[in-house]
Amino acid sequence: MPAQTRHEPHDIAVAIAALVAPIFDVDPATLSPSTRLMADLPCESIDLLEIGAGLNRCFAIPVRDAAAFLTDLRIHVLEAERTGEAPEARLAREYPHLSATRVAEVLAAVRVPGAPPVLTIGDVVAYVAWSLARHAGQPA
Amino acid sequence: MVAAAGLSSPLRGPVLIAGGSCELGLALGAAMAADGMAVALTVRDAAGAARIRAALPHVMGTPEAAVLRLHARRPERGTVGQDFTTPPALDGADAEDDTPETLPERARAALGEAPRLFVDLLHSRFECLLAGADPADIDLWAARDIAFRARLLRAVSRSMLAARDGRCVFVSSSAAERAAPGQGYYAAAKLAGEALYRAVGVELAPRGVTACSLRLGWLEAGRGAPFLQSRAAGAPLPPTGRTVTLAEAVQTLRFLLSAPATAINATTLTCDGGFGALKPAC
Repeated sequence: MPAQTRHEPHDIAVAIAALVAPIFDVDPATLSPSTRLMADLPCESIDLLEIGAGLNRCFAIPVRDAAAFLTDLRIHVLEAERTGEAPEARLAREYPHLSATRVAEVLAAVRVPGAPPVLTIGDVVAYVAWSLARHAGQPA
Repeated sequence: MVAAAGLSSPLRGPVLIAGGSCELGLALGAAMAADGMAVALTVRDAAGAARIRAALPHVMGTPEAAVLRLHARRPERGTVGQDFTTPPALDGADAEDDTPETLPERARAALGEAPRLFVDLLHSRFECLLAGADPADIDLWAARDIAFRARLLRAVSRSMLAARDGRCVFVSSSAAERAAPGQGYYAAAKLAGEALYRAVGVELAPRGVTACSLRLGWLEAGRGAPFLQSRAAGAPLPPTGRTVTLAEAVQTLRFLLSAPATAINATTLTCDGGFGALKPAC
């Protein structure tokens, strides 16, 4: 799919749904930006790796899995609390693709004991959109 | 009655050979091209490219073959939260982005299809007594002989994962098991490589990407040839009575790349004529 020509968030979301659906053997139409990858789907670390590799291929962008999939989220929050930094500022710096509203949501969710990982397809869409804008013209 | 195994073509997809300008790489590239496979060989510099074109003129003159540059430059990470990015290309009119991260895509662009087979023949050249190494050289060794290999394998295996199909073979050395004095760093790099390839075999085999390592013993080719020629007459040989030939190494690798060898995964084999099993001479 020549996804480099599809940079609108809706089109990115459709492309990511098409990428994710066969991994979990689900209908792409059942996926949306609000779908939680680790909570609504049986998504494991190797699935995230495959999604990351697929993003590389589909969008021709470099993918830093730790940022795209918020894998170090709790570590960043703990580290911010240890150093006295505002967690919101830390997360905004680590995940520049997330909006301030989303950072607040993520931070609230991660503070709930036992809550599942908060990563959504919408977060991945935001990462791809941010990366496409940042790396326009650079090889993946 | 035993049913025949339903294997189609024993080899599949383009093959990417890292370190392709060494004698073993040239011979393997020629053999794979003779199998009808598209072949891409990597080189560090123009001299390596010239060696390939001189040794494989009939192969390199076809669309199914390519020479790709591969350079050990570091990735860059600007600030927290930013991606790793590709460093600027080397200066010069023929400069290209020659990093490991771009290698699978460059191979796909050259051959029309991403590599499904990968052979890692990259050399480790750092040999000295462990306590005699310069600290700066140790850092360089770690970057070139371990980290660079990890970056390369990461990039190739991610590309294969996206297609859910791939086979990676690392050419290690019998020195990984029995290193002579002065081979500590060399052996450590080979052992690290074996561990990396084993990890790919463990982690990605469920998604169609397998890997293994092959420890080659004394080979009468490349850097091993002058060493073997300089050995004293009467020096011990493997139980086979001879060293490993280039043809044997090529055919062993060719088998390990084939579909019937897929079950040889996340492990290391030795091809040394049995030398490693011998009791050291008194």
